[in-house]
Amino acid sequence: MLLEVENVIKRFPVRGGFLGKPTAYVHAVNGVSLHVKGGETLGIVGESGCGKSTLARLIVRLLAPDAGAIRFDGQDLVACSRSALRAIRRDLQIVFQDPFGSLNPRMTVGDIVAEPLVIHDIGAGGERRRRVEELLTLVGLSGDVAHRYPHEFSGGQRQRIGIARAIALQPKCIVADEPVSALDVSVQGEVLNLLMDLQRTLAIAYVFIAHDIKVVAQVSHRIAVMYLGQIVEELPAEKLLEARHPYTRALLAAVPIADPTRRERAAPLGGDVPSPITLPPGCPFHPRCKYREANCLTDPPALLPQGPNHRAACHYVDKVLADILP
Amino acid sequence: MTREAYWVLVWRQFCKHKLALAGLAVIGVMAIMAVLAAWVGRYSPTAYDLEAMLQPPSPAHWFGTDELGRDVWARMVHGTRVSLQIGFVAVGIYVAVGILLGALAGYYGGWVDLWISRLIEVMYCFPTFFLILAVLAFVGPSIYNIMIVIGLTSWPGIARLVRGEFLKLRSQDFVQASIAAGAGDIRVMFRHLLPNALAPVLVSATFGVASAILVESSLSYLGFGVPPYVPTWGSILSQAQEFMDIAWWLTLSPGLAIFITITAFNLVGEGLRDAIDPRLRV
Repeated sequence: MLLEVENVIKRFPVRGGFLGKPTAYVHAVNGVSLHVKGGETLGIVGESGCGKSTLARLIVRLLAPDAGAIRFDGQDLVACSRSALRAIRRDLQIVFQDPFGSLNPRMTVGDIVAEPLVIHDIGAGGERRRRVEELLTLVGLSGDVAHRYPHEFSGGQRQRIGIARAIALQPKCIVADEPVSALDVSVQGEVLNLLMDLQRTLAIAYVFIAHDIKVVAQVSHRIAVMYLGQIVEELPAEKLLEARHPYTRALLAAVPIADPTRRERAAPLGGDVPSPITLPPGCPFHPRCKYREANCLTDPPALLPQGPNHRAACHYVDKVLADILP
Repeated sequence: MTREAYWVLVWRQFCKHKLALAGLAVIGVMAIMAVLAAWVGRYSPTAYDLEAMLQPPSPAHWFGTDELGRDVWARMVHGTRVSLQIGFVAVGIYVAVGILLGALAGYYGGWVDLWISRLIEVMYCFPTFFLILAVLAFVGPSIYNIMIVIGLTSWPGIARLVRGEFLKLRSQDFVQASIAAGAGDIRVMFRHLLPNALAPVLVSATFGVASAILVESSLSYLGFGVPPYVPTWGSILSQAQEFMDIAWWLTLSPGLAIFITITAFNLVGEGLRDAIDPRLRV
């Protein structure tokens, strides 16, 4: 297993009052477990504020988890030393959502892409310059853009630069945190294709995070659905239409699918994600769930197997199934 | 390969501000005068001639002579050297101290930030001018003492500015990307944070040079600045004042020099501030 995340918890203190003592906590990630095999794409989908980005930053160890374990290539990311972490980072990179904030405006594109090489002392002078040109060509830009500054590029081009930086060290895994959410739809497709091409040629595993289930379904091998800092369903991408968690159903129902034989017309999901400061007791989804029963308010459902590689956390999977099967 | 694209843009913007350009020109002329003081001054600033005391301006003595018959033009030109030196060195010291402390506070946060921020607040509590006055009364007048004392008392503004910029920038994705690539603290601070925080520091430093020159002039005027034989604008003004009723022109040149220089630096500061406006942020 390339990447293993086990029961990871992260909460952020809300400070206030005397001497800035924490008065409450934002429960961003509440016991997430997942794994990624080499060369595969795990898609993580969920609404804004469900802890996706926090999870991404935990995986690449930009944040330290409060509890739980993260292992990459068999090495513990949480307890390892600074130098060990530095070595691991060669194989574990991140691509960010905001193509404008993720590139240093004072550095040339060449310097930005070369930075990981410089940090890990790979190559020198002309060799490094050639490698940078090669990387830029690989992501579909011409090698001679290296001396230009980020502000001269469009969002899609900037995202390509960010991807070139991420693949500079030939990592085994890239965490892509909403890599196309900030882009125009036409550009989204190009960047998604680039990511998939790179996976084929370089055998990179992705943790692909997005709020758009359509995009996730397009690029992923397996999909994990996140709600309020928890994984509520996990299933192979080709089984997505057989999803059994009411939340996944709601996400699917919100996607327009050109299929006149589809009968399901679920009501769009009402309400908002509850505050992650005071989590609802029982099932985190119960305040918005149309299948809710009394025990949903008190007993948190476990993530139970539903089939090969398919798990869902819902007490009333049967009721959902009855609804979706003709 | 143009490495300074941002500063090229800033310069272009700065050039649109005609008054700021004029200010820059004035500073340039002053700087040349300061460097070439020995030639531009025509006379020695300390050579006295008791047969030519308190003379009005003439072709021989452009700005007249003082009560010891010293040529005021020569003293003014040498005073420019002292004033600019104090301005730049003092600001250099406090910008360095301010950047260092502000960077540590903003980057590391936690108790480092707590202590540095408290120190900044403590420094803010002192009226800076009187603090400088008190310290100088102990260490004695000399231009080096003035530089160091101004430098070590005026950093809180810069420190606070840099701390704020670092706090803001630290959470930006490009900084996080660098950390995720394995960059160390030094690299993150000096390659990513500092270049992006430098513009407002530069503006503040420009205004700082003006106020440092003013502080030196005020100190010298009060007699706490430099020893009397060292020509500075403040000391020339202070000495000339005693003879206001019989040689009023002596006060004119140091007064005007201080006024023009301070205005020039302030104009340049304003021009720079406009030029690095966030709308220009690239």
